[in-house]
Amino acid sequence: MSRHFTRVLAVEDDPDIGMVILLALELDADVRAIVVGSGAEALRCLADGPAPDLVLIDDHLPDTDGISLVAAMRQAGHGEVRFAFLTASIRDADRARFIAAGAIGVFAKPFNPLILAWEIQTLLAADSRPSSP
Amino acid sequence: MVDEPLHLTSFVDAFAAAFGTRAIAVAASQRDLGSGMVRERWSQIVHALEPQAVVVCKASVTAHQLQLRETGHRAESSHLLA
Repeated sequence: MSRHFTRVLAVEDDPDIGMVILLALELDADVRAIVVGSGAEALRCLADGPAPDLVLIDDHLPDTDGISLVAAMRQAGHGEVRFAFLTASIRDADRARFIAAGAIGVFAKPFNPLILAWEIQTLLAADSRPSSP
Repeated sequence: MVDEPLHLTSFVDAFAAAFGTRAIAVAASQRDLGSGMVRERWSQIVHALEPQAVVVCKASVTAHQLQLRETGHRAESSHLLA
């Protein structure tokens, strides 16, 4: 029986934060992570497949914003892919906006890197929607 | 729940390898932006990185000394050839 890895596609334009995300997620041997720096790269990555279990989106990207990226993902046929936001914009109004857009969670930046992978696994386990094939 | 002390060691090692001489500055910037538990964790990470920074610093000094010695040797050789 093949091992199931949780696949995370992180979209983060700051290379330092992108590396921190990667290192934090690699603490969990059951997580496989890819970090890309723009919305366009994220869409290319989704088109290439396989579908990630979660797309972790920074709200402020060089070519788009998080909500627009979600809309583009849906338009490109990736509406079933679950996503969460990892952002410095963590006011109640922003959180409500992200959840209304379909996010299954919102993480604040900066984050505790020692528990990020665990938080993502917990978030995915709690979400009732089926995981990507 | 996560075994954070265990993860701290693994994370700090990977962080130091990834960021090299910038590791403490990057970690400190996250600490300074954070609050509460997040700030506390990044403080621990900075603290854990400090001994590694000393090693990197010593290694840099050694490399610099070697380079100086080599440059000095070259200068001396070219002087002799002149």
